[in-house]
Amino acid sequence: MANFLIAAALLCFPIMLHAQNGAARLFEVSATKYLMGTQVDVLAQNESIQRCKSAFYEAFREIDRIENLLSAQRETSELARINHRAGHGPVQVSWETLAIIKRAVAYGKKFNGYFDISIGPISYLWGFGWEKKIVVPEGSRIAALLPLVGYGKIIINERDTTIAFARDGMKLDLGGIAKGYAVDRAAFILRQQGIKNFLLNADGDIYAAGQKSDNQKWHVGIQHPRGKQALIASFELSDFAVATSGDYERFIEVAGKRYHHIFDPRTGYPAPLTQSVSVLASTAEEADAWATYLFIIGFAGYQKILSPQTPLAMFVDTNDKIHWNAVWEKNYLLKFLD
Amino acid sequence: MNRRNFLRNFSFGGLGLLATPGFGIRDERPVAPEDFCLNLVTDDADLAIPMLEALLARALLAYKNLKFSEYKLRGEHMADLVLIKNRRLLDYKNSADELAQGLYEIARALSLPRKVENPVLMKFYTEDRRRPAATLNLFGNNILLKQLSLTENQGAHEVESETGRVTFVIRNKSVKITTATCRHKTCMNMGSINAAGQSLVCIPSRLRIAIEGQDESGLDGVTF
Repeated sequence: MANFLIAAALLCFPIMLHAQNGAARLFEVSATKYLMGTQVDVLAQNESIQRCKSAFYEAFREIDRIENLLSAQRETSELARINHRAGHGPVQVSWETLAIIKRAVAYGKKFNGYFDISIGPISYLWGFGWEKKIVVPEGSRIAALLPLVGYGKIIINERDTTIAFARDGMKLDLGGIAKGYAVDRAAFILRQQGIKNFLLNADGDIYAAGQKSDNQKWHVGIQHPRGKQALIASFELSDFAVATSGDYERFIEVAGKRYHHIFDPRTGYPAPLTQSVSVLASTAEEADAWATYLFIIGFAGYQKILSPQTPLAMFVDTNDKIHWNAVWEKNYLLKFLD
Repeated sequence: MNRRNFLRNFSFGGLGLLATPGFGIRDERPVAPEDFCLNLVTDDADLAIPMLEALLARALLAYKNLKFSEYKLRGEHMADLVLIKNRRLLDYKNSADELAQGLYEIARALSLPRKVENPVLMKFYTEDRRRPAATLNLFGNNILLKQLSLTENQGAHEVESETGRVTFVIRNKSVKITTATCRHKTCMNMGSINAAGQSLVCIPSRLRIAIEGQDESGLDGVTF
């Protein structure tokens, strides 16, 4: 069976290996797979190609399992079930789903409602992240849905492990947290499988474990929000995560104006202050949630909340100006690219 | 596919050029001493990989930055092995060094050459970052559908999977998706690519258009 699984994993994705000199030859093994509606890349340093393949297979399977729980697109997912039925009464869910919704609500409280997974009715109206056409809705339709938004209207019952909505028509959109959570889970699986040095990248949500080599950390770039395929900067990463929220991956332009997929929960419109923000955190989930929040409040908002506990961040504001923490530059060898 | 077609299809990525049948050495620039490429098409990767791992650990210790890629192929192909060193095709069957002898043993163990169905293409190669981007790999659902030379295939091209289709244009060694059957057209917003390691992806169609090689800056990942 194990051989079959390895063979199946082999057939599912391309593998890249990279050998290095040293006491023991290490191979750099990488694979790509389409999961969670995006491209997931994993890159690992190990002496055994087969061990990497087996670990990748398990990590990808874990991401697929999470997608089955938390994808709003999959009709059979727990999240789809919540969105369909929780307006009519409590919906029984797994402890894992309840726990991530609970953490998401905690982020909502911590971020004063600027991060809100109950944004679903708004994102569904616009079409971003859902299998429907993206449109710029009329203001009246947005206003009519705003009363359905508010994490306080999500009723979590830990004793019964149920989720309910205070109002019918509410929808949860875990786009600001699920991908990061999936990356963290996949990273856990890779470590469990004995892979210590790897880099996981799910559509820009990155977790880097260990190092690329004895004297080299993983080397990560930050894409420029307007220079397509161009980079702003690069930095080193080890046992840490980075995530970026930007207005340039999913958007439409109508009458010369750009409408993107990150909504301010207070207005129901795309947040207007930022082109992109990249955030460093100890987990991909945390980096993901913070990136969404900081994108909405902008660099000026970030300056106001800045404390030793605030994650390091790099902003590109709507005037194309780049702002970053000096600590990032110093501790992570941040280098700006021409 | 005969051996001539095998060479034509699977050796130009290593040379960075579309090889003419036989020995297509067209680039006369000085090469890195470690310039190396080993291509293997096989239907038994589980057998091949441990043998190649062991051989490379023994015979290629002097080589730095050796890479290997593996892609699934569809349809009937000729399972065979090609070794290119310093941009020259080498006959491992008539060479005495340890690497050539090891490859000969691997070829025998894999019963090469022979026709196989739905094999994988495995490539060990060194990274020459001075080499210009030259080869475009087209993937559908993680299967390598086609390789194109960026220099010899200017104009519009189409690639299709079971779930969609995109049209892309190669112009001045740059590639851009111009039309896509997917709903949100995000791939058309990705701009053009022109450097090794860059790719354009249409997620709904599960299509990936990637320029072969590693990013010139040597990045392991990009956050966006």
